[in-house]
Amino acid sequence: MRVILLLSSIASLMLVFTGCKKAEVTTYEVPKEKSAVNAPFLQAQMQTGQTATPIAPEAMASGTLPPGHPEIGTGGDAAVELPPGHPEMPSSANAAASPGMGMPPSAMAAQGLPPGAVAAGETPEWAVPASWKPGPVSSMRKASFLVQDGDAVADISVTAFPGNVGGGLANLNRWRAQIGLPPTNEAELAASAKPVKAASVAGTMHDLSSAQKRMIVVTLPVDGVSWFFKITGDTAVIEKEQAAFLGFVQSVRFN
Amino acid sequence: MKSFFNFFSSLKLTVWLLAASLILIFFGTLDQVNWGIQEAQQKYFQSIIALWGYPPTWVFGNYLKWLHLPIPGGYLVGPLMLINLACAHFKYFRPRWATGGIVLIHAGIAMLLISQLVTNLVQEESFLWFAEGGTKNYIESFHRDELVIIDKTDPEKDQVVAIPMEMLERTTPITNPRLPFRVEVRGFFPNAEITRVPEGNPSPTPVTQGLGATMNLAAKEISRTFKGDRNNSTAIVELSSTQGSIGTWLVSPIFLDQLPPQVFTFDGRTYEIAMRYKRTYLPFTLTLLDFTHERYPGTQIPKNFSSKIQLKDPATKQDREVIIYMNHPLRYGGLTFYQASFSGEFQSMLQVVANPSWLAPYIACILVTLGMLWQFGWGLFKFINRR
Repeated sequence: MRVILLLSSIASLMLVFTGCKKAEVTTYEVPKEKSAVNAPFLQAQMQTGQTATPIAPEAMASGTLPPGHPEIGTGGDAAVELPPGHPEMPSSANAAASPGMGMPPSAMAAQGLPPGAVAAGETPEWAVPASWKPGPVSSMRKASFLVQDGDAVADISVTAFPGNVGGGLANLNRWRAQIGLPPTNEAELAASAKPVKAASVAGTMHDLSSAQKRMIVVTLPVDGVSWFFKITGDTAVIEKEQAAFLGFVQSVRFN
Repeated sequence: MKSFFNFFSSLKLTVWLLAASLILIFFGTLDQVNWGIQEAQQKYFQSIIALWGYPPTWVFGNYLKWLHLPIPGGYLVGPLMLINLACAHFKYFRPRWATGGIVLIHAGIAMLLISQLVTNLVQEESFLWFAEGGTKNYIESFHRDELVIIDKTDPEKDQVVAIPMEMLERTTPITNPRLPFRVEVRGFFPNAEITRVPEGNPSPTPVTQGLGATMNLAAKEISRTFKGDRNNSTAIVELSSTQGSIGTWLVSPIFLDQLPPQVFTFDGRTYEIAMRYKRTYLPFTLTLLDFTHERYPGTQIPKNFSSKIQLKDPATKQDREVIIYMNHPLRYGGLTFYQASFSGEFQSMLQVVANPSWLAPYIACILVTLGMLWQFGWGLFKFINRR
């Protein structure tokens, strides 16, 4: 009887222990982040090739997307309804992988990789032109670079997604929307797509221009994964960086 | 009282507890396949009783899936072991030089058990992602989210009110002296996906303000995941003042990376409302100066990856460079920063662990080692003397 009493008192003590982390509201003051508060948004803007202009307060209040902003995706798993033309999200198996060395085992459980991130350690080799600087961080990007020429900026991104991400026309229309061009059709897709060969892979290249913006996208299908190498920005900078960008694409080696 | 003492000092109990811990570790490890490490840890090692179910994928799984086996959990076995160890120690050992080593060994084991309990109760794991040139003064939780309402009116400073996700599961309104309105949670999903409802159709998630309203978004609850993917805790939040409702917002960490912040004005002040990964601000800053990543030649297998960090702490006037790499974490300010992951050539992720008892296992191992040296040394010494 006494044993049972003691056991139950130990058990209740343990229950108290397990419940001792109390959640409560915290308040604090932080200096305004120069870029980090809106960093994900600015990064998203950069992804679309826009320079980081402040968002109009009305737009912020109403939550409307800035022109050319990509459609919203979701961080969920399969069966998530993605907007038309949105690249397919990699599966959770891909997203969770990571080299994860020198850390406690429980850390391996969750890498903190944002949903949709492609596993690290799968990046191909390439030679980055010396003038390119590290670009904005994003969960979607395998690599990110920026080139600045005065006020003009070019954003270079490398992304990889499983499958053909909605097909050629959906991709082309998404890119066109990002630089403010209207959607197009299959006939123009065929005219726009130029064959390109890099890393012993036959891919396609699109060179799109609007009034001020230009975008060059090289797509390389490798082992069921579409690799997108994209440079976007002001026409003048792209003009200058075109050769460096194509050289970069040619330097890519998938192992 | 004596029967208590006899029961808990019994060596039979020691054997039973060792057997129970073997079973616990076996099934706890086995079930990680089904639940993931974190959930299996909670289910088996951070509980009093765990229920193991026969996996349907095993032989005759279809017929035996009803079979459930109660297993003593870590919070039962650990404390009992500690009590057993203490009682047995005081029952069987008298302070003598000849058994001094055993005292040390027992003290070491007791310290291991206690430090594991402390670790379970207080350890927090977070992460820190940055790109070269980036500076961070906060870390973000792996598993916890928070609802934040940020007063952004001041051009220099932000006033943050952070409400942990655990509080959002309650239905009572949340008030705070910093907020001129109260926060009421109209719906909370521990994990949800967000879809866009075609224009013209009403959203099943009715909200009146922010992204949810302007983009006609809907939140659909999905089952929680425990296998590496992060849960997206999503909430429908209504803010009300004494004059009535200000509006209802849909908040989810899914928005963070992809959409503009949800900002509104109330009473002449500008606020942002968001669900984000729970942040902990640090009294110091870390800047990623350089990230290097070496592979074994001709392969994609990482050989070494390291982050060169600039650590600046105004309080202690520290300003130094640190290199964090495999098995060489930075320990600073009660936190341990491990090199954990990377993306591309310029982005690095540090795993940040807050564990005040991190030294205890090392001290415990030293105690056990010294105890064994003492005990065996004593035996050897006596044996040589006898000869």
